[in-house]
Amino acid sequence: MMNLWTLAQTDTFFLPPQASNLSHDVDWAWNVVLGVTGFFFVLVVVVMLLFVLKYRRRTPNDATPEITHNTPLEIIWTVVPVVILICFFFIGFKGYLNYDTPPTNAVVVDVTGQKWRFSFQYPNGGTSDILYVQKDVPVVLNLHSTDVLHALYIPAFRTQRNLIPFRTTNIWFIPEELSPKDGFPLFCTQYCGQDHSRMHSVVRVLDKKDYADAMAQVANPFKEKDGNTGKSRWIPYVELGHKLYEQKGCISCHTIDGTKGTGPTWKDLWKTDVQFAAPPGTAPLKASDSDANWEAYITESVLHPSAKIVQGFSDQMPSFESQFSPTAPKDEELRAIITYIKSIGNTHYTPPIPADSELYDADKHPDHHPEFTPEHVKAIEAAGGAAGNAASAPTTQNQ
Amino acid sequence: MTTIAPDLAGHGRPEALPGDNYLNHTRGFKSWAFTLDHKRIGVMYLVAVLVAFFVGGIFAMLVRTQLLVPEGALFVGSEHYKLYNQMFTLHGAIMIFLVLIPGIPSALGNFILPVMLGAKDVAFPRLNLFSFYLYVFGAIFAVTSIVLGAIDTGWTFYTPYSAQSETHVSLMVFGVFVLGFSSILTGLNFIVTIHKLRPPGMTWFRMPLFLWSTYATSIIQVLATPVLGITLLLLIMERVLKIGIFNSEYGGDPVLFQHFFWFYSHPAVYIMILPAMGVMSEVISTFSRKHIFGYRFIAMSSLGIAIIGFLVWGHHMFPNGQSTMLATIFSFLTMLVAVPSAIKVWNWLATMYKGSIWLQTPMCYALSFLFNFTIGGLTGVFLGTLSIDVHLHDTYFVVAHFHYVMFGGTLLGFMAGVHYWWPKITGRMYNETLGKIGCALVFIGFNTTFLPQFVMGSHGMPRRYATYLPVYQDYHVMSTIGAYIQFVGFALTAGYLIYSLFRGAKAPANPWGSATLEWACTSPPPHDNFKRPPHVGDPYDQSNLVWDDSLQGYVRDNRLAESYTTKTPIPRQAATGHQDPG
Repeated sequence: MMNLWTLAQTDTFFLPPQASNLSHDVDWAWNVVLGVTGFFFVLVVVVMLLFVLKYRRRTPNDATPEITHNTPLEIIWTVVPVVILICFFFIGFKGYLNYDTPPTNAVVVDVTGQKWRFSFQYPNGGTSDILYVQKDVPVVLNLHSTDVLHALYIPAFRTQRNLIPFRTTNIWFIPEELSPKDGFPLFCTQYCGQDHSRMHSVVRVLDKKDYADAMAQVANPFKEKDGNTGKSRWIPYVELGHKLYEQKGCISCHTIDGTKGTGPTWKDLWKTDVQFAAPPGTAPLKASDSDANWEAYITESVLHPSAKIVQGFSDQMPSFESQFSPTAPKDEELRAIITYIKSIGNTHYTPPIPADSELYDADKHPDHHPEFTPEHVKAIEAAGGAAGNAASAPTTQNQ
Repeated sequence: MTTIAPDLAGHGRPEALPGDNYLNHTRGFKSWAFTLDHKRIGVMYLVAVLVAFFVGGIFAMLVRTQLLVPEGALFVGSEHYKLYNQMFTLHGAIMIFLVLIPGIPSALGNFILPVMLGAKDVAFPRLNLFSFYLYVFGAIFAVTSIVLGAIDTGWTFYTPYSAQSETHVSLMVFGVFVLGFSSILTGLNFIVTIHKLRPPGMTWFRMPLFLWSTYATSIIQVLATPVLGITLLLLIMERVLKIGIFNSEYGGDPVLFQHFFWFYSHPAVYIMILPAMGVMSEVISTFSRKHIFGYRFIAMSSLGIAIIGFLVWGHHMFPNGQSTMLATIFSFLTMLVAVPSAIKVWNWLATMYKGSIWLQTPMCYALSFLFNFTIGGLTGVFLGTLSIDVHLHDTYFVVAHFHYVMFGGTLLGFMAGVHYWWPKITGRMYNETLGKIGCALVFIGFNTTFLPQFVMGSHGMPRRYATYLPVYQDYHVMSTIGAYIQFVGFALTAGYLIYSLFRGAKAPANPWGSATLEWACTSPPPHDNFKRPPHVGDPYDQSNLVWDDSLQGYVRDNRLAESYTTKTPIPRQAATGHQDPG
């Protein structure tokens, strides 16, 4: 009962701590409704118990008074609830209008839901799988879904709304409290299939400086700044690939330890013979096939997962076209994933650059990531982008 | 028959278990399989519903056991979450479509309604049997889909997930489609029966309130269920023919499905709760030995619920991106639909005032109903309040709320009804002490299960989660312990009820002292219910029923009865206007 006790100590018994502008209104409404309904509940139960005790049966033939009705009394107990309920309606209505009226100066974050993860895209083009917001700055979340219904719910902010395919819905809020280190929970509340219960993330409410750092980080996923030493470094592809594996949600279906998940495990996937169940007649992919064939197969599986279904698995995976692409600027992230799959694959893989190489020191080599392809570097230069942010020059948004 | 029968058809001192009754009137499998007797059909429904309740209960136990630990106790690992999703879907679908909807109207209603009305049978006995077989076929489709690959869409079948799921959605949905027809035909049958088969003296306002609530229910069944049928058919067409109606992949609109679905499924909530409210009115009046308080308000509130209940479906979609205007209208109407329920609660309490309250098992269940339904109704007000709903939508608060209404209300009402009419249906008395212990276990178990769910819901625990954050674990553990207590309570109940069939004391005609007509015939009732149209008095006047120790039941004291009939004479027109159907 430890949790119950701590909850009772630190929070209100009902409702999580208030952390947004919306929570005050909702909690006030909650308290009013709880107070009034609680009063009537106690009234009903006390009267019931009183009657049961006072008028319990003495003999089977007890004479009882003939009371059939009392019209004035009945009208009173009809009208009083009507009046109270209409008051509740107005309280709720007023609060609801609040939800529907975002301020014009809000930061707009695009949220994409797909089985079974959220992806948040910020005005600077960067994306992340957890939501960063700045304290006291209004935020509008534009919600999209690429497959089935989802819902985004942040209990601490008292807000939720559905994500509907081919529609855009939105919610807004002003975060008023810094989040604890591991953030406020954020849930999918609309049932969306197998891993629905793992479709949750967190919101981190940061102060101005931390928020700026977080934005710089999401804008350039290839680079990482050490909070203590202030040093920057490029993240080696094997490491970056593993990070993306977690961030982009691959982890929810593909294991890396050889156990069976919703999709094939990534352990030893590289260069192990694959048989396909669909479409019928698809030639198997052999370990002896060329690197280029294998890379093309993985690329296809990420972007068009329904094209080939591995034997023993079903057509579950949504397309990750909005996350990765075979062309700049997102091709490098896809390459990092492929590099990672190679590193845990069926062949011995040695990274071209050792992980401790000074080439990864971003302060000494600020231009670009050492593993970028020459074509990619050329594309960055052509776009005239500053080195630090070039990797994710503004992406096209075709939600 | 133009005068009131002096022997008051069965109100005298019938034998405890007379020779001929509906159970032994004919024998053999065929005499049951092809029976047109509403009582036998009712009994068959009752058996089927109780079997379905057992199956649905097993799924509930699996669901609760899984949630003992945050990462899941039974179905661990991503590939097994689907199993959990199938469990809660089957629990919901079976409980709703096979237990709660047919539970009181089709099982108890079929048995009781014609007898209570004073009729020999329902208006269309063959249609009635057909309804039962539709129920059986619907159930078979549902069970087949479970065997072949149980659906994992949630009982709401929300698109586009249900249009894409690889489980046997079409089969299950077709089963529900067939069950819908069973429901429609039963409703139709009851409406016609109540309109056309009332005996002399049974005016609209002399009908017991159970009949009023069943009447209101039937109207909803007939008007709302076709919409579900059409919707499910469209869903099947979408899956099989890939026509874009609800699936956005083909240009359909998933929100449209929700509108169609809830246009039926919200009124369906009232299909479930209204008959239970009817049982409450009967039980509370009888066991308080007092006239029901505010008969007309209760009767009219049933119709009020049936009408307003059609106009509130949108409150299931407040955060689903419907327009603010729609949400506002639905919130307002939702508030109004709470009023008739409140009226009933006050009237039941007032009925107990200065009564002679007899705490037999049916009354214990009725008091549990009153307690739980009040919680269920009042927490509905939280959800009807727009801004609060945005926080609570699709959390365990909603789960707890509808279980308080559907389980704490409907199912306990059903239990009250089963215990109340058990002597009439089976001709046997069950063990009262065990009955009360069973009721107490169910009550305690139920509240232990669902009270913590309100708290964790308000803290944001989403529903339909196979795994959860560790912070919610204590609530989940409490909840699961409660579920196990309920299981013990129901197992005990099943035990003593089955035992009573073989070893129970023979039931008197009127063990509780109720004035409604079903207690005027023997227990169990004869094949034809009444040899001649029974005398119809005030259904809630128990003052002339006196306890007879030798029968262990109540009998009508004719001296008191006469004074009663002279006090409120039967309207002449009603008494003489009907032909004797006998």
